[in-house]
Amino acid sequence: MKRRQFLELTFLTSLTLASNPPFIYGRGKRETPLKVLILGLDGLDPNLVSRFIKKGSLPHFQRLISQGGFSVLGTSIPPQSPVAWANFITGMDPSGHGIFDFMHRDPSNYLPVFSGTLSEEPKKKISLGEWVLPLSRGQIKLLRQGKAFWQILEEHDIPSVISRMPSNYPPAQTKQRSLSGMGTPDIMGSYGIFNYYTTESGEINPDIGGGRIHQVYVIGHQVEASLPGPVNPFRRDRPEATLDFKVYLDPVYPVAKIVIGHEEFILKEKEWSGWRRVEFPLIPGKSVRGICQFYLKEIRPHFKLYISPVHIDPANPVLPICTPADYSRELVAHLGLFHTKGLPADTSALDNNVLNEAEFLHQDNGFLEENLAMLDFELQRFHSGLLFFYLSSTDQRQHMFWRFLDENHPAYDSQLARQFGQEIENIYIQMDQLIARIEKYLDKKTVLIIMSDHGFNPFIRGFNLNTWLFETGYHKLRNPWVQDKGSLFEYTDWSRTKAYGLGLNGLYINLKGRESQGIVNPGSEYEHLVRELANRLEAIVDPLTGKKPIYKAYITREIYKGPYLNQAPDIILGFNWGYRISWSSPLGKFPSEVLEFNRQKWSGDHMGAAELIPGILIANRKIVHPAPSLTDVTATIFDLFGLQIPLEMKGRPVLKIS
Amino acid sequence: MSIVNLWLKTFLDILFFPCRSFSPWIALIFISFLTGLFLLAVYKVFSNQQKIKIAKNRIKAHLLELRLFSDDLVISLQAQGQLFFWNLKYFLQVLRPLVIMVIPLSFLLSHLNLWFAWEPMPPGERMIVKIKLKEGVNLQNFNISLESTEGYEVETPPLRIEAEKEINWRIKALKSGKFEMPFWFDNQKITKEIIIGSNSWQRLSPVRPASGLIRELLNPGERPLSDSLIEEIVISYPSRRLNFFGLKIHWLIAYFFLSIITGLILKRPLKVEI
Amino acid sequence: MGKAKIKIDKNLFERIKKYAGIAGYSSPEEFITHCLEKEVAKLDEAESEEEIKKKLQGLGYIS
Ligand SMILES: [Zn+2]
Repeated sequence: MKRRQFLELTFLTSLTLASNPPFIYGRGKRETPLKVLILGLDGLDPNLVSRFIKKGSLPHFQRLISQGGFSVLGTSIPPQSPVAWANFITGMDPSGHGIFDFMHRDPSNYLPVFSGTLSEEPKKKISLGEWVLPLSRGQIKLLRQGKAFWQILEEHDIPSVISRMPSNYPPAQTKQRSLSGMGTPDIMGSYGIFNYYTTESGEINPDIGGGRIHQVYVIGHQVEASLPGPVNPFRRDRPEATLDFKVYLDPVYPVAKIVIGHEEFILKEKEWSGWRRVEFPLIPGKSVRGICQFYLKEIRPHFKLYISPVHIDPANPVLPICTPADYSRELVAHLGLFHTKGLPADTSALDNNVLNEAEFLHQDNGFLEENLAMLDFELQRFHSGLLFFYLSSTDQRQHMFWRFLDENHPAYDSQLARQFGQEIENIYIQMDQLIARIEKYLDKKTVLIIMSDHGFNPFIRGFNLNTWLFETGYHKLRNPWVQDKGSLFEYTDWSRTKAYGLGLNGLYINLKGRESQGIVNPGSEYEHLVRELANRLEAIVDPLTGKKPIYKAYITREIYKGPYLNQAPDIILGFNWGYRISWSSPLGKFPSEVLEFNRQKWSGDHMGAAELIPGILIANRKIVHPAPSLTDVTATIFDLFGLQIPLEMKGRPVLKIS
Repeated sequence: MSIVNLWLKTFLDILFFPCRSFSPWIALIFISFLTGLFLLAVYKVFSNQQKIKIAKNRIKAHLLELRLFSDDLVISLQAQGQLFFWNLKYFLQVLRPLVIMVIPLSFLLSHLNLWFAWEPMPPGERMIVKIKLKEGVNLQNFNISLESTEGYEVETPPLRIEAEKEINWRIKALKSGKFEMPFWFDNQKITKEIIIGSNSWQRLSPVRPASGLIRELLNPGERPLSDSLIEEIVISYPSRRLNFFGLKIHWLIAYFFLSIITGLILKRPLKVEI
Repeated sequence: MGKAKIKIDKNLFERIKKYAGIAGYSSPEEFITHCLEKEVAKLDEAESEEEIKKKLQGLGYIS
């Protein structure tokens, strides 16, 4: 951390401390007889844990399991992280909390929307020439329904710290300390958009998701470019705010200086900058602050500069990322700047060859270190109640490195496998070392729970749901010859379309009265159609492998009964081992083949049927329940604190208290 | 110039010595108080106190006149003319002490800047060191190197920026203390002072300038360079802001404010007409 | 609100005048404004779709 920041922050903290004596957070200060520490390791797979334990790679896991217990943990349907963690947060199934996928659709226009968050612009505005001034406040709303377990604990005066919990942006209201995780956008309001500046034309396909490629030129040993920022809502034409920057290159040595806003720093070739502050001006006196990392990939022969997605600055958050409002600032004061975007690992940059494997790992290791430092910091003051801490690196590494576990994976590369074939095992070993690292904080009254939301399987074949619907006649296009062009159902003829696929596991019926141009009548026509589709989907056979791509097509009405069922897809696809939805079907595209190989580096995934890819539960207490699931862990929390399990929760306690 | 700088530097070093272990606020309040006193003294000595008093009284009188006879156009106009005349007289009276004050004050300000405007980089942090060359010097043929010492490590080769006539290095602070940075060119050594520290308040010199009246006035921290090719050597110390109940303010604002308050409070007891 | 003038082909304008009356607009101006507004709104929407796509695409699971 820079000295200046440090001073600013120490001062800020001392102010906070002065105005908030020890019982700063109001409610939730009871001394509990037991302490509950939960580590949420996204995607930690029970099969791999067993395999690596047998190999002897995970001694601390092994010891923990021998003292307590180990079980597979039933995941959600579908087993996507936002859904699964919401099950855990609320103790309810998706029809109780309303999160069914990473993305939902707006039935009024068939467009995808974020499932977890609603951002609304101010309703009242006035225009003054080029400018637009808001007269009311816009709002950002958490769409997850139901109470979070820590909100209920708080009602019973039990303190908790909830760090980086997925499906909790903006964080649920509480006086306890919480920091949002997966679902927290970057400063563009997106899931993450990096910027890449290169003099080599055609190096990277400019039309990629998750990043922008900028062609730049070196003129007189200088590069001038600009970093795109958020949309400027104060301007009538809503342009993107931008921040110009200059890079000065030495004529001979591989070293350059970057000057951007108030920041000025020198990087050698292949060096990372660490976090740098950037500020996008909107109107005089108002700007948006963020933080990002620079990586000078190459100076010669080609100039190549990577800039990470711009994260919300935790020292000056423009969006609500924590409770209480000064919590992130307090963390910065003690730990320096840290990432705030959910799922920070830049998988898009790796998938599109902007970063290579080593560069990707370097960056994600940095994020992991930031998290571990934060965990240490919270553990040092963990004296009562509950501490939940979430890590995403386990999930993200398995997504990107699964291709090296299997020589037959279409994205397998023997040379890279020699170098990075151990990476999945390595991240499991790092988690094993984490257990050792936190051991000193575990006393007799601390219950340790390690859990994951789902397991993993290879992603070898992709299923184009929308193409299948088109080929079988359930989905009609206005001009069939543009089938593989366009996206977001650009060419769909809704007046003749009965079903469409959107999101990672969802199939929706074009239902009259719900969809704006619905044609399928509710009642028996709908019931029959759903049944028919489910049967036909489950009967599909992949001619190449002889396997069924869809292991189970869940009819949502049959498995869920909660109040938010009306927002659910009508069918949730549970894919077979090795299969997943294709890359482009989720956003309403129609590639030519129904089934295709996945040749991307993103090579492991978890969109299968829930029974195929359960998560894991490990604890330092005996597990008494034979087949626990995510909602049972929630029930266990209440049980451990001696509280009645809330009525709306379905789970049963699974740990033996002794 | 150098003599004045040396004298002022020593004076402030002695003055601030007891304050060094406290917050910079203590020293700032102290020096602002002294400045206020000094300004009053200059004022008293170099202005005609009697004439100022007369001018001020006349201004007050005409103001009153304006208010009382606001209906009468002729009297109003006359009063306004008089008001303008006496304002001018007052201003001329004040001008002399002001001009006399400006010179020592600007010396003092650039010295105080060394104390209050920057803070040292703590060990482990990185900063940029720049050499700015004079117009017309060819950067490519200018072979200069910077050596690491026990206080810092030079992490990059020289970065030559033709457009800015600059050579930059990145250094990493290693150890608290005051060190000399040795630059070598043409078998000649020139040096620049660098201070690394974690939480001490002390005088920092971000710039070692070439000789020249203005340059030396603005950058009084170190002896000017005698070499004719280099314009200045700069260390990018982070700038310091003073904390005023959560507000981060530049020291100059606090300084002027405090000096003026001192002046206003002390003018009565010291019988100074301003 | 300010007004701006634009040039339009005379023949086209004659036809617009004819149909404006038939379609129940009070003046050709009203007809033209209505048509243009409709087209511009379409473009606006297309842009926001592009915005939606970009925002979602950072999610590693889709492309
Ligand atoms: Zn995942």
